[in-house]
Amino acid sequence: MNFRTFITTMALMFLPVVASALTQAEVDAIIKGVDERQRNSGDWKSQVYIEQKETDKTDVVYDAVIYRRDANDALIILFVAPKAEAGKGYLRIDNNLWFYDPRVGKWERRTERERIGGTGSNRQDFDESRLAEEYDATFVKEDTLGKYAANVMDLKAKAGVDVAYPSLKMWTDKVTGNMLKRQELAASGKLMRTTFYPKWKKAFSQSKGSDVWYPEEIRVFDEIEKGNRTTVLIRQVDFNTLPTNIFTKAWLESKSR
Amino acid sequence: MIVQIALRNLWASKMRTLLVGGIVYFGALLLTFGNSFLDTIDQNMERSIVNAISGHFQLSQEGAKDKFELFSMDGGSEKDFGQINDFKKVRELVEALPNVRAVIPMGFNFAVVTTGNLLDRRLSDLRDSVKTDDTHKTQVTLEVVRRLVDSLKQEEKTAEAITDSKRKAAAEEDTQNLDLAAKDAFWNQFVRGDGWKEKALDALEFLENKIARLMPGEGLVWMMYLGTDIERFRSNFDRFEKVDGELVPPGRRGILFNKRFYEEQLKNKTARRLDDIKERIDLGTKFDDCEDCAQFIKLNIGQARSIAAQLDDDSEAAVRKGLAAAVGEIPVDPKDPKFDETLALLKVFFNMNGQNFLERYKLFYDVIAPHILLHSVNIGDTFVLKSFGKGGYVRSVPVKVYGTFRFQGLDKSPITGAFNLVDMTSFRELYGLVTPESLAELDEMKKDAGIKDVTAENAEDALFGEESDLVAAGEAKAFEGMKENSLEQARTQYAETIADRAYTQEEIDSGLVINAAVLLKDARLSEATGKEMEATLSSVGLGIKVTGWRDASGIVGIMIMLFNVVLVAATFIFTLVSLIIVNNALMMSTLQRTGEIGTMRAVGASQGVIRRMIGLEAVLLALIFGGAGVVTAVALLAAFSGGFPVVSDFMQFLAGGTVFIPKLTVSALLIGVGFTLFSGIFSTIYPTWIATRITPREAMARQD
Amino acid sequence: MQPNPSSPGSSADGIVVVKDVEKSYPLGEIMVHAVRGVSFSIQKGEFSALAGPSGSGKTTILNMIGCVDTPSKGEIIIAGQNTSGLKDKELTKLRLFKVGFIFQTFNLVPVLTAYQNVEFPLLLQKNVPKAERERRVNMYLEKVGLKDKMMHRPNELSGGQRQRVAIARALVTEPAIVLADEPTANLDSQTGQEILDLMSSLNENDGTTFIFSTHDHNVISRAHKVLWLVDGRLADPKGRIA
Repeated sequence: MNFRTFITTMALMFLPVVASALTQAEVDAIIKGVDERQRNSGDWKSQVYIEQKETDKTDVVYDAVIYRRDANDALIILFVAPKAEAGKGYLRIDNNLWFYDPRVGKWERRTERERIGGTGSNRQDFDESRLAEEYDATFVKEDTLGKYAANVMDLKAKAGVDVAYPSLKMWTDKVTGNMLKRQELAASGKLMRTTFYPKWKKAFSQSKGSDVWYPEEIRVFDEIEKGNRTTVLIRQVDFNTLPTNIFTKAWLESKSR
Repeated sequence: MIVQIALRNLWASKMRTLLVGGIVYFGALLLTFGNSFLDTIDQNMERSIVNAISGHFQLSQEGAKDKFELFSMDGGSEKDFGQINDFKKVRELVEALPNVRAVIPMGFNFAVVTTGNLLDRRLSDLRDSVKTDDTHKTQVTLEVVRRLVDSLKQEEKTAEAITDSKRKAAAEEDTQNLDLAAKDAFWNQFVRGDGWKEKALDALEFLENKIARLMPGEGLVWMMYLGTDIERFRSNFDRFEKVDGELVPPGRRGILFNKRFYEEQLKNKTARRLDDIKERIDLGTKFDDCEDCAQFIKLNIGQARSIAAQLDDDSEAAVRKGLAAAVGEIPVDPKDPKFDETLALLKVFFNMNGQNFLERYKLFYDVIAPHILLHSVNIGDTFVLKSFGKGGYVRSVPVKVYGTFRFQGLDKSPITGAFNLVDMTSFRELYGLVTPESLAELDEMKKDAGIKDVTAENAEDALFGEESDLVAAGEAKAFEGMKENSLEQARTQYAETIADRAYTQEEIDSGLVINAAVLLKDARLSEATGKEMEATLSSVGLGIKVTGWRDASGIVGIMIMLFNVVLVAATFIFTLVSLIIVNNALMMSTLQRTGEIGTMRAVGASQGVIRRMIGLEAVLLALIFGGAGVVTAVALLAAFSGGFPVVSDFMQFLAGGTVFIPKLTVSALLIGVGFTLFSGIFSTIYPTWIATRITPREAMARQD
Repeated sequence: MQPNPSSPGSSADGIVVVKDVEKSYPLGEIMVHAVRGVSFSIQKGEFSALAGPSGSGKTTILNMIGCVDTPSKGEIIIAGQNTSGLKDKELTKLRLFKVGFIFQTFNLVPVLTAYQNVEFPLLLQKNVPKAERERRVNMYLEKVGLKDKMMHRPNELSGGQRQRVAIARALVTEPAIVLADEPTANLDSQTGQEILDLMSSLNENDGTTFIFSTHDHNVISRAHKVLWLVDGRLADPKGRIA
């Protein structure tokens, strides 16, 4: 073929991609946006409900209270129901995840990959969204999810960062910028979880001066043990400042003494 | 005369006699010896199981979801054997039967032993010693902690490889933290003085949060345990034998580790590898021929640092002194600022070979072992057992380790070697029984939340379909605050942890029991007693199933049964085949003697005489050779009365001890003799039938 | 002694009386009529022969006299005992006590010594005490001239010697009759003569009744009585059918 045809063919091949692709800047902005919408500069307290369904097993269910101080990257998950589980909890501080069981009376170190309460949820599902810090994103394509038009992006964890899933594929709503769906993969590329965020709610934060968005409902589907699914409901939120000493082992221990 | 003729005939046709006789001889020998062998194995396996764990019978719930098995091959925690309702009553009823010695409650489960990383545990010790003002312990532990931290410094990765600025900063921070922890000023915070405790605890927090996470973890150990009334267990199962430490005091919570499990799973890896090599040498393997041994030595050298890091100043001196004679001069490298003499010494020491292994093995235990953490959990420690309860929630219970035990003569058995003993109360807590109350509580929680279930297949449609609303309407609900009394149970749990009381027999017998072992006084009456038990239990309608120990042994019982089946089948087939061969041979020789027989008939020998003569040949053949076979078998068994040494774990189970001694059993003898007689008698049938058919006329007609 | 022609048809009393005896047996699909109606009698002390070509039925008749076979029709009376209707056990007994056999092929029990072979029938008789057995065996072995070889086994003896042992065995029970089926057939002519001489002398000295089945002219010439058989029937010496 001659040169003209070649150029035209090339242009035609790349045109669609170029026409609808987002620039890197746009991609980065979306990711930052996901974080920013959920950010609260002050403290955070919420009541959550966690339910795990596994094939051929009874459901595992919790009521828990989440305490967060994003400024320090501190997090507490305190289980309050059922009775047999109440008093157990997690404390995340200085990149350490600790677990406490009042029956044992001692703290245990856990990793990022810890299944919270043995369910399919991880620490990050309850914690501040730090995608922009932890991942590098690239645009993949446009897609529809149900009745929503979405942007699809690949996220790869930055070097030296310890996260539960080193690789993500994320769908964000074109209109609102909210996260819709995430596929979470292990370092080997194996698909571990698919998580859906079908309901977003906002609440006004005094310290932020604007709304803080949070997923009212998180649906996690286990891709290794198909049929296993965990649902997290964030039922109530509170942005009032928490006591200073709350993010310590001593505080969590005191709850059950 | 007929006897003489018969004998003479056997002698005359030597080949035939030897061939047929040989078969009978071999048959009798094989059957007697072989059956003795296998009978002994059968008896041993029975003793191994019955008097160690199973008892003569097992009681369990009738109609439970899974068929009851003592030795499940696939994770016991997945199985549901139901439970025995009202164990107290069951025990009363069954122990009332005259032939029943004891009924012992039981339950099986799996647990995970978390030992944490080395530094975490030492820091935990340090924290305890600071809190309790234990000066000496603080000092000693501090030294070890410092060494461990120093060893981390030497393994650290440089921050340069990391490209991301924030993460790079984090890595640089780690380096800085380690540098800080390397300074004397840091460690001086633990020195007594004004306000030292607060400073020490702060320093501890720093170490726990910023330093300890840099240490690689030890890993998890899976453990199988039997929850039981330990006191009654040990006094009724006669194979039980305490090894280290002490017994769990009656009624108290505690765990006794199975010695084999303790040594293989919970021991320092270097020590374990040395033990492994020693075991192989004891069984006759040559060090130089052993590839695995070479691999172990390499690993020990490579991991010498983990040993060195555990030594404080005093220990170091002791080790150096103790090993000096064996190891000799260590070349010192003055140019290397990081040179660690102790580490170099250890590396040379661990480089063992066939000549010096035994000496160095002893040195390891005499000199090094006392100064390191030889086992992840020590006798006297309290550690955390974690099980996955039936309801799906994880249960953690602290238990005190009182000691180790073994089943006599079954040290190496992989089957009985897996059982660790845990008290009944702790077992119940770990089991996580689902009760109606707990189910009701969960139901209420779920109803309150009101989630509609969505499966992976219909997720997209259900969640993002036409009716969905990405942004929830309405204001966020205000925080109601948590119910205070929700933590009431937690407080009770904690109190439980602090308290440490003995439980009464009543309490032990009155809670959850999954299955129970029944031990009899006289095993020979077991069939009758089994029926008695069934009758008694069914009359009170408790829904209890009685299973004989073989059935209950699951895979093991099946194995034993297979052994027996194979035995019987082999005996049968062998007998049949040899009879056919013998019969054939005799028949052919009879036909060959048609003339002779005919002549005798003509001369006046009746059919009876002929029958007797032929028959006698066969019987004499069988008796002589078969008898010789049995006698040979008995002699062989006597010769092997010293026994065969057990060379593998599985063999030990079959042997019921460290030496396998096949014994002549009555049944084997009967089988051998029976085979002999049977082949003698049976093999006369066809030949004599043929012989008597020979008429004198035929015989004479042939001569024409 | 002059050979006497038989007197066919006369059934005078004798130690052996054969009356209208017939014998047929199936051979595949065909019936073979080996003996087609024969009657004769043998007197005590006679040295007689059943002569004829092979297939003439002489062996069959000898067998029937020896109670080794039974007639299809007719009767045979041995020493006053009618053999028809007797069962195997009784026939065997009759053989044991009343009949002595000498076979063409000697038929000694190979694993037994000469002595034991001769002793054998006495043992079968059961009630002969040891002393008596010894006496008789020794006596008859001596009579056949083999006393010095009595510990030898058949495979250590020559053909002639074996036949002598067979003769001793046949005689040791002191039977009513001694039947000999081609006794010299397997011997060379000189040995054959010796055997015949032996039997002849036993007959003369002890009065033992001998019945031969033979086509050997030597034997025939020595017989007191010759019964010629052709095709299952008695014939006169000249070959005429009676």
